[in-house]
Amino acid sequence: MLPVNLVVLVCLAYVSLLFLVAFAGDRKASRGPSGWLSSPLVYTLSISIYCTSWTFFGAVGSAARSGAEFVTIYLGPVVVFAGWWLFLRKLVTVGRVYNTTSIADLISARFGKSPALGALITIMALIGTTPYIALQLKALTSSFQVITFPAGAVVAASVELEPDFVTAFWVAIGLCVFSILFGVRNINVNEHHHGVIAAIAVEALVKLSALLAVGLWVVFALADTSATVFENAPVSLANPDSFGTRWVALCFLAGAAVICLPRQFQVTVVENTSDRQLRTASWLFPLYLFLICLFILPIAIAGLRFLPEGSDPDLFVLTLPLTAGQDAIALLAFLGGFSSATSMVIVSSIALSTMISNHIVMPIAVGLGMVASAGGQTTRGFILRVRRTSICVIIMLGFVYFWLSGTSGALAAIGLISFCGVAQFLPSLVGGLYWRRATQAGAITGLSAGFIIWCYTLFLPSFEGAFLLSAEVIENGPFGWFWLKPHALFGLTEFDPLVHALFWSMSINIALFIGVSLLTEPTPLAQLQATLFIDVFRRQTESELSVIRRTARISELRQLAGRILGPEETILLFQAEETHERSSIASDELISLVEARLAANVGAASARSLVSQVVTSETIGVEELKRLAGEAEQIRAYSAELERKSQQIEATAAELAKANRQLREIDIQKDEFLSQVSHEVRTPMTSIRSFSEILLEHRDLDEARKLHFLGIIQSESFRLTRLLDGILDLNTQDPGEQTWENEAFDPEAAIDHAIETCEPLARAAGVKIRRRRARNVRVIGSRDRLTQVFINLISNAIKHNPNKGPEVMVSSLRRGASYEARVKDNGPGIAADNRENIFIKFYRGRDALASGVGLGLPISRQIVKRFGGELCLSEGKAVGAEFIVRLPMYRTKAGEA
Amino acid sequence: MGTRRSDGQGFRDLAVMLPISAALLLMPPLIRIFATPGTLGGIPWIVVYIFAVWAAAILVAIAVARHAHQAPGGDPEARSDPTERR
Repeated sequence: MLPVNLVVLVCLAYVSLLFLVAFAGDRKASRGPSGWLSSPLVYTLSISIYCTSWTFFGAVGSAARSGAEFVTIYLGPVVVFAGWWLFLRKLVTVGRVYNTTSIADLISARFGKSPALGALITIMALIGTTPYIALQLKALTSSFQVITFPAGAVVAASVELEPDFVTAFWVAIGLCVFSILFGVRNINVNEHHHGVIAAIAVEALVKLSALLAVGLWVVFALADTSATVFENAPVSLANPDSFGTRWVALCFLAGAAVICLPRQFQVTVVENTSDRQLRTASWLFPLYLFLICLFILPIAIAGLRFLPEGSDPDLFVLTLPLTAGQDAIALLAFLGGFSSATSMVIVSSIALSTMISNHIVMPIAVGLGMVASAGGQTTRGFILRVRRTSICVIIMLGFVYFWLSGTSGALAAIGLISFCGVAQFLPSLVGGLYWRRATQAGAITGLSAGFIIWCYTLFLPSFEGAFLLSAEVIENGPFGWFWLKPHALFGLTEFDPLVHALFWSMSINIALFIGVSLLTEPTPLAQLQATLFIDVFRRQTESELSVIRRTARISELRQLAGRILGPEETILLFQAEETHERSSIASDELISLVEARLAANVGAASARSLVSQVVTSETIGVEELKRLAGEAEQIRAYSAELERKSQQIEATAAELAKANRQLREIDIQKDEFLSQVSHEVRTPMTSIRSFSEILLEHRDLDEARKLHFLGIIQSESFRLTRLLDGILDLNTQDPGEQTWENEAFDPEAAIDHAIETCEPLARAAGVKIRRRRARNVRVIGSRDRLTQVFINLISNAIKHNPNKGPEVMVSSLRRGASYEARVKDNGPGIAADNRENIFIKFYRGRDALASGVGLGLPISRQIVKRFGGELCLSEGKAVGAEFIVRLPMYRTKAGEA
Repeated sequence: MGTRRSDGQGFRDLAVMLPISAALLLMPPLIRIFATPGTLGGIPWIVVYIFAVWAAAILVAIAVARHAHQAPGGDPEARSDPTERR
């Protein structure tokens, strides 16, 4: 046993230390909130008020009773924080951007700054938090009783201690004073409580080190060696049945609670000042919980092993060191429990008092015209008094709950009732941040239904007949209607009461929220707020300000701001405006600014009511609203469209570049062609001109020479004619340039004709023409043109053949559906690198001596192409060159070629 | 630009996958696999498993937070692929 005086003295010393920290924090914050005050570490430690005395004492109790189940309370938050990117990031950003003061403020602001919704959520949060505060009172009282029990710790551990309501009452009074001194000394801008947060961070460190100290002592001192720690583990630890619906339900509840509990919302969202804080908390908070949970099981197992049967497992953390005579560790453990309980009560009551004053008292005061008539100091004093009174009411409600529910219920069971109550906010909160269609009516219906079911199935039965519901009703249902039994609605008996209550309240809450939202239309203001909240990551645009158009006199607006914000801030607020212009009518921007600053103090709904009192006319531009709502969708669609377009443009650009390259090539070819043509034309023209000049100037030339010159002129003229004919041909061969008469004819006739034509040439060169023919072939096209092709090929074969026994072989045959004619000589053949060049215009092979203008083969190839066939060189390696003409055969109806 | 963007995409995928996979691993039926009487170095399997998943989640969360820090500021949702939001 520790002397009562010592324990009280230590507590008071500890509290004074916290005051010093809080004072230093406030002092530093007033000089600019930066440095360690807004560091991610302090932020994360403040979030750890999630670990209340329920964790500090109750987790061990839960582990001793139900094995691994205690860990669910921490796994839910771990998933939520590790998944901050999905939801928390958006929630915290909305809270920060719109200066949210509480969860009631955020939800009511989202649904059109609805005062009714804010009041409903405040009442729900108040009732939902009451069991939780009772839990802290219970933990504080019993830990105090145990540590100061006159008969010693061993007896204290083994007997059922009657709760000492006198101690509990004084503890409650102490907590009231504590909270008021800490949190509600003044109204802060943006509801940031830097001093309190600093003190909470210290308390977080104290409770963590206390639990770690007890854990380390248990593992390394009490249980001989660390290897034997789990030797006496309860069998329930590895029982697969404990991982069923209750496991899932508890994880879900804890995950919902870490967002929806008013105090968690206060430290996570309201007190947040930067994205960096949340980013660090996303892993540091899970790590904190990890360390907290590390020694829970060893302590529970050691308690079951070393303490007498029937000891209260909820107090193992305290009774284990006390029994072993480790007073120092016991005192540290007591301080840890004291820290976790007080920090929770302080922040909870601050958060709830803000909600009560902003969402219940202020709307009533505004409605009664109290704010409008009062002076500046009076209004601010009024708000402070309301908040202080609220804190006392909240803590005393917890005391009353503790008193009524008495000794019943383990710490964990009481905490879970609260969790289930505040989890009712989740559908409206998540739906509000992601679903445009969600309406105020949907939120109110869903919340109320879920809350009523929670009250009926979980909250009221927890009094075990002491309040409203009698024990008889809890056991058999009202009027004996078994299907309305609080723990088995509609005969659903197979679940435990918590899962049962969670299932019914959540399903009906969600169903009504969605159903009623679909049936009702949101107000224009709610639509605007929905757009602002859902698209919080979108860049703010000018159009938002132009949606609401209001008229108000600057002087009235200034009076209003002065009452709530105080003179100093009001002067700052209106300073910029006054230097701007001296107009008596406030701009829309100024009205919005004043409303936003008021909202940071009294909540969005109350701020709107206040501003509405001085606003003489208000219109919400439906068109602007539509455009605004459409904007976000449009931006999303635009970015997708842009991406698609840019890909298209890239493809088009590539095509254009390719086409451009082709054009350049063609241009070069054209230039070459033109220079070739002029060159070709110029040569015969030069000789014609010079010879005709000789003939004109030298009349005395002998007849023979004259004839010779005339012959040259004539042959050059012929060559010129041939050349021009060729160019003409080449151009007319270009696709679509000229129509020719198509007829079906025997290509053999064309070959015969060509051979006849070349006969004199062949005879002169001594070339022997051999012939092999195909039968019954018909092709379609121009006979004369084909003849021209063969004349060209055969004459080439004759001309370019320096062989001593020159020979030309003209053969033709049918090959499948095509006709194939080959013209082969036994000359030197064509060099491999020239095979394609010979089909280029004006190319004349390497032997420039040969006559001809170099147009024959290109023209022939074009003609054959028009037949739908091809002209090419044979790939064979035999002696000489072999040209192949392939033409598609014309088929008659009888299928005969 | 290309690599940075794909990095950003990968980090967002990781940030989304982390809570989902953590929840799946810690829920029945998967967690029931480890609800067996055996021990690892004197510690029951179920305890080892839960705390191992927990520690892994913390490590991945550290990686995600570090990437989120490096990711350029501005609007993360507008930068993301519209299809990702379904």
